[in-house]
Amino acid sequence: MFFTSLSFLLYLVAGVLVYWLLPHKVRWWFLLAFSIVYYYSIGKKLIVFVALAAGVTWAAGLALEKLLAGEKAALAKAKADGADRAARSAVKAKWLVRRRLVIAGFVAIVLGMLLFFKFYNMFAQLMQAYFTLPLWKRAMPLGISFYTLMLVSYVMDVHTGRIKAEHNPFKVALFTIWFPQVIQGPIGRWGQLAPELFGEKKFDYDRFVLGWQRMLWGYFRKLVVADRFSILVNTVFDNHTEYSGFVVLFATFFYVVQLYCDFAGGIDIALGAAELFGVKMAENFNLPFASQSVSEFWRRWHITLGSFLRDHIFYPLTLSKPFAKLGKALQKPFGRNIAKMLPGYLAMFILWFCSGVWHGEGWHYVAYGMYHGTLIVMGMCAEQVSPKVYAKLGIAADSKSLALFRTLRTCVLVGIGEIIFRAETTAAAMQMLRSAVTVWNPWVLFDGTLLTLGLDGADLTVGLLATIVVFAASSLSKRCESPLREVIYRQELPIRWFILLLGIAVVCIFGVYGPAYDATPFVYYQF
Amino acid sequence: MIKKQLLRAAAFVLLAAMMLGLIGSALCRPASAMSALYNEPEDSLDVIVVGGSHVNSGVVPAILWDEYGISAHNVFGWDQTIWVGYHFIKETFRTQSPQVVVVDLYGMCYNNSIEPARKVDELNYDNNYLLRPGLNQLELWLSAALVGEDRRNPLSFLPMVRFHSRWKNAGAAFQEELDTLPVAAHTKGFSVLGQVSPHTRVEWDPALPAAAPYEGCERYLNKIVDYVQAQGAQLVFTMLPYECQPTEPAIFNWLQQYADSHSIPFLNYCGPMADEIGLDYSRHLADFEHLNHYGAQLVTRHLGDYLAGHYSFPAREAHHNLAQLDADAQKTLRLLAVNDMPDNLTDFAAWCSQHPGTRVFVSASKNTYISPEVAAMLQPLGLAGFGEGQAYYAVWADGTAEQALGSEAKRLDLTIGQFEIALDGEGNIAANDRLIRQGSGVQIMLYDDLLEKPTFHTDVHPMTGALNWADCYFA
Repeated sequence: MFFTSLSFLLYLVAGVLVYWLLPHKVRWWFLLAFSIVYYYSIGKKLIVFVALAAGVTWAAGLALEKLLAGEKAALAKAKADGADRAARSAVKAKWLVRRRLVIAGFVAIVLGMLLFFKFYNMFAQLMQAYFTLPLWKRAMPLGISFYTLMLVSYVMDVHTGRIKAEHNPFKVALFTIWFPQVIQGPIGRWGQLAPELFGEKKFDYDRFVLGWQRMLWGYFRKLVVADRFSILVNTVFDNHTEYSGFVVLFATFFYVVQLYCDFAGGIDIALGAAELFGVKMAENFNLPFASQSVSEFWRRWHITLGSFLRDHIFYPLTLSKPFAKLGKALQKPFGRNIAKMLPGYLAMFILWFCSGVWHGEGWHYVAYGMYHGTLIVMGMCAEQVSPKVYAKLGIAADSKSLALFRTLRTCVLVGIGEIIFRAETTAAAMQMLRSAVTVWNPWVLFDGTLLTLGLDGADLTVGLLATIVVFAASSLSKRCESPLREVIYRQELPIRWFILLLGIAVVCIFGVYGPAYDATPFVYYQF
Repeated sequence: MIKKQLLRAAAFVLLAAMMLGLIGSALCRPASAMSALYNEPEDSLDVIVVGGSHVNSGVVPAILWDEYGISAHNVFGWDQTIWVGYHFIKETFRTQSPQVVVVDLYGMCYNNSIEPARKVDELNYDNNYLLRPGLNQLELWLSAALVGEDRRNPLSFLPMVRFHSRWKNAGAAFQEELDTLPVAAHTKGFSVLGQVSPHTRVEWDPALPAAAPYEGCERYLNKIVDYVQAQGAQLVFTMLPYECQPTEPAIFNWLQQYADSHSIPFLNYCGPMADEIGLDYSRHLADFEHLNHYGAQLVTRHLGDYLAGHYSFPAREAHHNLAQLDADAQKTLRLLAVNDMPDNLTDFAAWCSQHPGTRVFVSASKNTYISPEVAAMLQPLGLAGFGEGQAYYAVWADGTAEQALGSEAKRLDLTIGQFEIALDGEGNIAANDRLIRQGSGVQIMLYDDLLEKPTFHTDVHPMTGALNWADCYFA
């Protein structure tokens, strides 16, 4: 029952009907049952790992809350007893150690499960030379990378006092397994999602219709664009030694489009489906290809992962004592300004290393993370000098041509990163990059070679036209300063219905689904 | 307010569903197997013969009508499984009241035959669209989804889901598909297979322990028996000849026991009955599992004898569509009659004189070298003077040149009966109605006046005059 199956749509319609007929108090229970059935239909017995993770998170949250209360009481008592600052700090430190122990236990179990499923087989194969470990032959729980981060953020937010721990384990369970996001995000935060899931809601017809529209747009991006291009992309990337030069560049362009439409399309379906139940979830994309720098790109692409990494890795690292010490130690050899920035750069590299590792086993993911870390650090360095360079060259910093150049440059840099991301191995990525820049064969764009990559002329035309529609729609929403679906929704009924019926027809006719095609899973399902 | 909004939403959903239904049916792969049955006048059939391609190539309804006065129709679908057959029978009884339902039981070998069960299922999914929309079709979808080995979500049978990728076939390619449907209405579900492919009959022991067929097959065979009996019709089981697999005779024995226990006659032409009717596996098969038309005529005559001998059907004159039945039978019999094509030019000239009503189109490309002997053989066909660097064509009817012998150096559009053909000025066939044949060299195409369609085409070997016929039945 994947998002792209008809069974899912029927299940969703039935679920929405029942949900709005139920009294408010039991609605979230229904959502829990609905989400469990959905997850079980795909993940089967591996659902026990989701339950285990949710249970451990709930318990960790309660323990942390208890410890926070204990700390508060101990501090109050110390204050009443006239304890001095040092004594109060000692009390604080004692309770902090206890909380850290709880967090360590939580991390060991929940993050341990993630690491086990992602890296155990890689580890077992590496260790084969020394001893034999049995391989884990079953799939990993779907969405483990996403729900694990959500649970980590929940526990860390309880730990820092940003949110209160939830006492009802089933509410934590729903937060974990909430069907639109459990498999490929967005990575929701308790503070944002819980009020949406458990708060009282009234049926809002406008929101309901907009939810369906968003889903339709998601299906368009996923089925008409992403899955169509996946055929061509797979042909080239899976047989990369047979292709070079412009074919690789061409396939890379389509991979970037595919990945964007696949992931953003999936998120549209998820957010649209959530809206049908009156639940608003965090946005994950904001016109990433309009970015003028790689760091801006990452603020617009997979936004929830970026904010998770920033809040739970970057800030804690840069504010930590070792990093403060490092900054001080670097002052002498490098001077104050550089010493101030170097720990930040180091934290950035660590963040991107974690991002690479999060994507899965394979050194190419690590290389992908480090590539982006390097680009962002270089960008941070360049930011210091670029205003002076522009001034010297007489280029207006706000000129349109410079903006266009920077956007194109960002797209090219991101494209190179996607080769590393998509290739089977780092060596394959290097080979493809090498062949892309060393072989000059522009004629392949016109001599029919492109039609031998799995898509015929008609499919290629439909895919390209659909790509234009996707990017034109993004540009139009930017200009209208509101999502296109809202612009459509404001139109007169006949125009609105015509556009929607046309959209449905286009997705149903030109979508890549059904027995004539092999179903292409969402790219981010594997993470 | 909410009521109004919900009504509006419901109207939109209805509109969208209608739109998708229309698009789905427009993209649905065209098929003719049942359309011929739907064209039969109501209550005009005495017998239906139900089964897969074995029935399509193995029973000639025209012979049953011409020689026995039995109005029959083959209700078939490629690789038809028993559960698909059940729904086809139900569909037939919506408009017809046949006295006898002949069911070929090859489908009972499902999951025990040479064809993998999932492949059979996949082929049968196309049979889902042969029925008109209705409850029976929905039931067929459910059966297709739930009975075979290859379980599919019934929703995947929605025409929009199954056929949406055929948008690329819109336009000319779509029309071409329509033009190449395999079964003409007058054949009543019969297709002529002309080739002879020698095979060996598998001897089997009737005392072999019976093996039960696939569970779903047995369940649906019971349903067929119950349904046909409830309709007041008689059942006859057959097993039309093919080169069976070693696992299948045990199923035949089970079927024999089943037929005996239900008092249903079972004409097993795969067994000793083949010898009784003089069926020769070295001459009467078109491939390992289909009869050619010689074999089909033998089996049909035996079946006709059996039906006429055991059941009483209305007199020939009592059929209200008598004229149409006669006309259809004549056309199909003509198809059988024009099937013995000679393999050389000399005999072909004699063949032409024996088959009046056949028009012969001959063309020769410019600069095609042929031996003097072959050139001499071509003379009676209107290509005298060939070999002078000119393009030639001729159309002959009943031994007379119907259209002038020509050597045009420009594109030439000819009409032969109702068939249009174009030569490119070099004597090459550039285009014709259904792109039956294109190319260069010396070519012959036959057009039949009774059938109103081309029947055979061949190229002529330039050195020996040997002919290599291919039929145009599917065109």
